[in-house]
Amino acid sequence: MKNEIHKSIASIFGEGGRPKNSQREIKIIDTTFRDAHQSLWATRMRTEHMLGIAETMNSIGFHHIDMMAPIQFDVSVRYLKEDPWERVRELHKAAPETNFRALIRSKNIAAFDFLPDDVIDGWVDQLYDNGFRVIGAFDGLNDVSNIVRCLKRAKKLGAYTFGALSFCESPVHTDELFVKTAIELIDKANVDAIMLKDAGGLLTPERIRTLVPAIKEVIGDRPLELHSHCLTSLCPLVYLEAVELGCDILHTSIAPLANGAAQPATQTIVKSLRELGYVVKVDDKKIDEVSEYFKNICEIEGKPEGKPAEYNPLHYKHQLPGGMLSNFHAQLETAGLGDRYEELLEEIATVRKELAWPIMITPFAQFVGTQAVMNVISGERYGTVPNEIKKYVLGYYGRLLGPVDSDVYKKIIENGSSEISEKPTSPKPMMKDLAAQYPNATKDELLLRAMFAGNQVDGMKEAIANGESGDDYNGELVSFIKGLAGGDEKQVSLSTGNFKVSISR
Amino acid sequence: MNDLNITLNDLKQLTKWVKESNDIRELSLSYNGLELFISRNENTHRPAVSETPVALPAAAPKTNTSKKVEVKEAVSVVPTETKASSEKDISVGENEHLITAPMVGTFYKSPKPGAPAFVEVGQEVTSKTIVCIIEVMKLMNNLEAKVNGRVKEIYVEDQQPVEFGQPIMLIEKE
Repeated sequence: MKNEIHKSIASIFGEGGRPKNSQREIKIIDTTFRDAHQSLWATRMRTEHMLGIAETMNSIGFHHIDMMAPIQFDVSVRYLKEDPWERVRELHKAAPETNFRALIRSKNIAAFDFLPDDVIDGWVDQLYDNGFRVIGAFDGLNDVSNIVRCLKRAKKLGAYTFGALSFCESPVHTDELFVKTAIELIDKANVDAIMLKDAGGLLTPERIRTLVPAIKEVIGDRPLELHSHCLTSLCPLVYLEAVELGCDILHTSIAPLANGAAQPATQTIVKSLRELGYVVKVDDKKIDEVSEYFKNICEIEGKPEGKPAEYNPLHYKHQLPGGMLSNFHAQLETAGLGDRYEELLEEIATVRKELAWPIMITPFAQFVGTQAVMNVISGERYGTVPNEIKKYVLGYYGRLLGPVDSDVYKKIIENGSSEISEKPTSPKPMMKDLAAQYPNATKDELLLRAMFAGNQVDGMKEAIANGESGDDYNGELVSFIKGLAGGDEKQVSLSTGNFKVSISR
Repeated sequence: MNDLNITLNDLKQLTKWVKESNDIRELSLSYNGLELFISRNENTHRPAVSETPVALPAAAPKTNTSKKVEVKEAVSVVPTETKASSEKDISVGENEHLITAPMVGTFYKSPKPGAPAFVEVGQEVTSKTIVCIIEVMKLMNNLEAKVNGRVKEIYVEDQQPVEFGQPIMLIEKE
């Protein structure tokens, strides 16, 4: 590989591609059940959607199928009102040959603040007990000390583990940083695979050309996985370049649940890989079945299909996923400042720089975005400081990748809650108290209670007991009627046979 | 149109949609004996198609109950600018400090559910006393009194959504 002159994907295809099966095997990790709907359906894929096609998914030939990250637990409990642990068990039952994956986020899992070790330990144990045999973790600040404990515990239980490098584009996110992080993940947690995780869809073909060889050089024969998003439309090219440079495994999802804010489409990537001579052992017919299945759900429930995005370099400036951007826009609107959206984007970029370039994913994206909105709305920069921002600069969430702007640091310490001690404290154990408070709860339930404050878990249990769904999905009829009344007409009416509908404004 | 499948969820979604779309005055739907009629108009009559109360027929799919769903005047005209009016009523004296919401969010009077409130009316506070939490996009903002004095009034209920600039509490300065 190293001795070959690096040819671009365009040149290789331009010369007619390569002979079939002339290259090594590339494995595919499916993200349809996890990141695809997180990126395209606001994480609203229900367990029944997955179970309806689980048998087919089971025999496609995916290396792994990604299922649960913290947000899937969060949305299941708070919005879908279904038991996320039940999903884990049911899917393992319905697709017994599949290696499903679970991802742990730092020491906060689904919470914003760090959780005590007894909760993290319990979480790993229950992931394993409920069926997961592939468990990985990431830390947004690439502070490996936050995830060594859970990775080691998962490995000890017998799981295959992967450690993620949280890719981000900034002056502090250098190739050296990712190389160093990969070495640490191997030295300290002995992970089985390294995942290059680009949640913001920021990787470019130029960057991947230096980054993949640098990481490959230090990870030995452990496989390198690539996970990115199509937010700037460059992702499919980044994937193919990465494979040319030695990347072993790609994360894709099945169209129509692909592209846009999600992963590249499995269908297209697999075809391109084969044209490049690589061996990809997945069943195309079954992939088409899954595709049809989800097209049908999109149609019936009015859920969006993924559409290729337009290239817009502004994305690198704010690096925010679309959902969060529209939320911040709404915040400005309600404050009567809707016309200052451009200013907000500038402010987001400035705050991010002042706070030492945090990656724009949960929870850091919320930290930066909310502070920026407050700065714009109040007119006084860092006049109001959320507790989490003060904790962040004090190192409560791990070591920062660079220094915080010194004037900003002073303001944050001064205006942030005086209750927050300048020396980070570790959270007190929770499980014993929770068990005393809920003597009849299972360990699964106690862990959810540790994660979700207030009565969220009660709400979920109540909805399950009443057979209700929290998912406000639109059926065909509702989508049709909304479409009918989509303009600003005073009166719309339709009647055919025994069906009549009329709407007036 | 013979095989149209109208579910309870459809009706729920339509009702919700009308409730949230302030410009829709009336919606009526009838199909196979099912009739749904929602109106914001005060003196309204159901259209001629429906002489009976809105009811879901036993044939409705997904449920095998013959449960009747009465939807009369489901949405009434409610003034939405409650915030603005409450703001007008509050006068802040020279010796008083008004605490307002820094952003759209949720007001919490205590550190966690069931715990005692940070402050009650009449309580003495110092400038560093935490008086409440405003949750904004899952971020917690401890609001401090900023002045020494006494809590004179609390304008919002626990867990109530608050608008930007909405008065939260009045502190009488020492």
